[in-house]
Amino acid sequence: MKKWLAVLVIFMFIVPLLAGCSSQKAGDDKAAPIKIGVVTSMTGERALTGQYTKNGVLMAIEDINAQGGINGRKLEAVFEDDNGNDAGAVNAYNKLSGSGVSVILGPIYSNMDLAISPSIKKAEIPTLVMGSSNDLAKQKNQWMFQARTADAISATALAKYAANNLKLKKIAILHETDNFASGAAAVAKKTLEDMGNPPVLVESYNGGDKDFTPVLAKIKASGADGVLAWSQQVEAGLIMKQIKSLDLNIALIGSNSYITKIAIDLAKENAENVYSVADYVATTPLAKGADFAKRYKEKYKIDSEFNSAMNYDATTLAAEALKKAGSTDKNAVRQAMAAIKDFVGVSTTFTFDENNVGGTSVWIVQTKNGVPQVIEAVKGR
Amino acid sequence: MILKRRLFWMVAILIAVAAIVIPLVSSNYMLRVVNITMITYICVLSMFIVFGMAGQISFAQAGFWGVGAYITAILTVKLQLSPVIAIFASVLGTGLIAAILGLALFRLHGHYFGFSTIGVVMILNGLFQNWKPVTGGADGIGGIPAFGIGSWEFTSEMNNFHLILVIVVAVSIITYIVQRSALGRSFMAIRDNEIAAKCMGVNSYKTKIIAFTLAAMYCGIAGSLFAFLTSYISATTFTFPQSALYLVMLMLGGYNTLAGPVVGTLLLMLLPEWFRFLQEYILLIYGLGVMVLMVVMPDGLIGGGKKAYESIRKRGWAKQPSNDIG
Amino acid sequence: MVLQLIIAGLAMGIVYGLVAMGFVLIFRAVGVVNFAQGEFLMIGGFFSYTLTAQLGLPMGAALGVCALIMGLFGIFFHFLTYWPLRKSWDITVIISTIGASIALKEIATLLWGPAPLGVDPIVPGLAKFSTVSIEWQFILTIGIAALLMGGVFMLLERTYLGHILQATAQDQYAAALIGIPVVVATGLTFAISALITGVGGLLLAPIFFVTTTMGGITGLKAFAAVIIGGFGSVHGAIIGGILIGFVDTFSGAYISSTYRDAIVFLCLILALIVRPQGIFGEKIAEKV
Repeated sequence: MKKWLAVLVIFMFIVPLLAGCSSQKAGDDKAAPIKIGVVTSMTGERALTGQYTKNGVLMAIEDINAQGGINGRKLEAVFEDDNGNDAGAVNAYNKLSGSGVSVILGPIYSNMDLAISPSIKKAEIPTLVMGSSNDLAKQKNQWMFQARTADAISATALAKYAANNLKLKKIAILHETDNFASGAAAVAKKTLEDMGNPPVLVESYNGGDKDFTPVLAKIKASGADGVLAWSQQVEAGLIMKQIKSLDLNIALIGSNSYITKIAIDLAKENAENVYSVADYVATTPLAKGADFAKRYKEKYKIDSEFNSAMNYDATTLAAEALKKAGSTDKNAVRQAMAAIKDFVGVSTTFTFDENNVGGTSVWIVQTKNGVPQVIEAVKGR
Repeated sequence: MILKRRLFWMVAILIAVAAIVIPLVSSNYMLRVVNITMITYICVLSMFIVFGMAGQISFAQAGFWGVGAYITAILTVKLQLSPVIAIFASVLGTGLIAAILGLALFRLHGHYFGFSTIGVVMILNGLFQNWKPVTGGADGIGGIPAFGIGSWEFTSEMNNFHLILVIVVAVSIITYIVQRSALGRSFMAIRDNEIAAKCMGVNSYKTKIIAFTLAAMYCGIAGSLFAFLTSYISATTFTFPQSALYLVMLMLGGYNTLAGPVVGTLLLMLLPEWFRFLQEYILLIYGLGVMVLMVVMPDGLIGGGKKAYESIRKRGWAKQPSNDIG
Repeated sequence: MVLQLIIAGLAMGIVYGLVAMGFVLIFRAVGVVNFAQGEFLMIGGFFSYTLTAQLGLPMGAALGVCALIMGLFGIFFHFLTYWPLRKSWDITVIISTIGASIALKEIATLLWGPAPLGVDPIVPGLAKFSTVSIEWQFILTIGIAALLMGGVFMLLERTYLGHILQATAQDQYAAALIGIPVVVATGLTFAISALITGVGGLLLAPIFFVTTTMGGITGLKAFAAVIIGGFGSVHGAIIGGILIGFVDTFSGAYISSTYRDAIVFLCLILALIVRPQGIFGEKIAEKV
């Protein structure tokens, strides 16, 4: 009897809890601020990207509000924590979709974007995701917009640069087993095969691995003269370090992570001369990008990097769609978003195609003296 | 006896009220939280069976949860089978795998069995993460259809709520029956003193396997419901820390009674929602909270609550020294 | 290539061995598995950053200070997780250590931020012998690990204090009867365990960088090492650690680099089935 009393007591304070969190609709009160939701990692292993994301979004909102906001209304952001995993991302997204936001910014991790895709379809709120996987376009989700250059472009660019510019003949591929890296590696492999220069070896590892000797030793034994790699930041740093430790002096062309400050700081002198395909670097030749880099450094005292840049761009894209739509009606906003063409961001120029893929170009970058320098731009479309 | 009948009606009315009220007052988001909580409760019940009743610590439950989810996902997405077949397959398949594992692993005694279950969950997770042709590897499996019987589909959050609630009630009733049956008593006999139980004629090896299999089947159905609810599953959900979470919920609520899992799950799933505004500090409070609660209430909240209730009752509600014996 | 793999396996093995030693010490003393042992490695690593990069201590001094801090931390941890629960069921202590591992990860994130941190090695550079190379820092780590293991052995077997610790580990009640202050013995054991693992973290920080998640999978694999080596002995832990290091590295190279974790745990299960007490381990008394 007493134990069920306890259950009853707990039940009693649950009902008000549930009632207290009731749904809100995106208000169309003409004077109230417009809210955008942001799903980001504030805890868990990816908490660092969460901080950069916040920086990028808040800086964009400042800029937008300083220029008059959205047709006179101020823009505001609501952040929800995804705990660094897929289930948390879905949770965070669902929380935001019920809280009266007009647009939502999704995570930069392709796996999480795939996880929230069903929720996006259900909620019917225009959502800008920043994963680069090609699988996102395949979702055929008209409410999901990929505010990034897809791997179809960047992975192909990596492969072509390795074979054509660096004249590498025996290329090895190394990638993490997550969706982004696996997908990108598959695209690169196909590109190389189509060029008649198939990779001599394709190796993968699990995120969180600390010792890459097994895969690197295999690459060394295969006699490869270059490695294409897709990793996250800590692994990129470790790989750059261990490649040199194993005396593997071959060219390394990596994904975005390889020229981030974290990876370069961790690998120190081993990061020298590593190439990468990047969405954004602080030394970008784009006028708007360079301006962003300068102001970011002044405001936050740290260097900008691609997380903050992508989220800055996504926020300004959202503002653009909201402005063009003239209201917060979700269908109007969705249509306005889909119609965005040649929108110049700090990372790249955005034009949404029929699959809602937005990014159009990437940069080929090389680290010199610890700083990534742009070598050339690759336009995908 | 009168108490039992009253108790039964109290619980039944509680559930009926919950079934009607909760969908009405909750937002879609909170309803999803409730659904996930109920699914988690089924897994904690599985921990209750294998550990609370039979005394065998198992860290494999989250792995079995994953097996159930993946079986459903594979059957409905890749083989296009009906959801009803999928849910049965999940339950039976998970049970089968657990039975086979149990045959091998219950030769180990005491904590060694527990250690082996750590190996089981890590291996299962490795398979989910890397066996690309079957589990989709890191891509996971998406596009899982909603559960449906014939032409009746459970697509909305509220439909899922009712579906899951029905299963939760069913599973709880089964657990209640088992608890009071000879089988349940043999579980508890093994937990309390395995050698004595064997002397009384309990085949401990066989009984432990039964407990393990039954528990795994609970996780199997929970996994299936999870797949139908979220329509996308990936390996990162089915991990060792998740199993540890079930254990914590069971211990916090109280491992000895059926009410324990209810309290433990509700507490650890719903409180974080209330405190969401604490953002970065939630996990820290959770960790510290677990440590403190173990010290203050090692029998869990139900056990500790009972003790507190008893001591207040003995003392009398007023704070005077009592003169009577009672 | 094989030679390089052996070196890598040995190096990873020492990592697992240091964590495993910590596990075994606590288990022998109080019969409980400490699920926060991997986080001791992480804390040691973070202290290494604070002591060198933020406070500018030379590495030698940092080593000593870190050892002291980790020892104190071990005692503190003992009073939070084990001591209040010493009379309860051992599951409660296990749950408490699970809670502690979560809390420690978050505390680390709050104190040091979420970014991975790099630390300068005590001895920089690579040592190269014919076709293989290994970082000098690794060689130093192996050396210090050997010293630590030797030190623990000497302590436990040859000194009065060590005998007190062993007596308490074998039978707390009897030890209390003959006048041994049990709380000192168990507290000290936790301190030594934290010290060893923490110093390991400090030494490995320059090689693998310090992240809040470094304790997780490493801790679990070290746990597998303990089981294979046997829960009874400290040298079993080191041997088990090295074995797991080899399994990890060689299966990564020759079988599959993505299944290497699963293979380690498969070995765990096989070892349990074939020889549950491990290579050196305690005897299991049950014959019934």
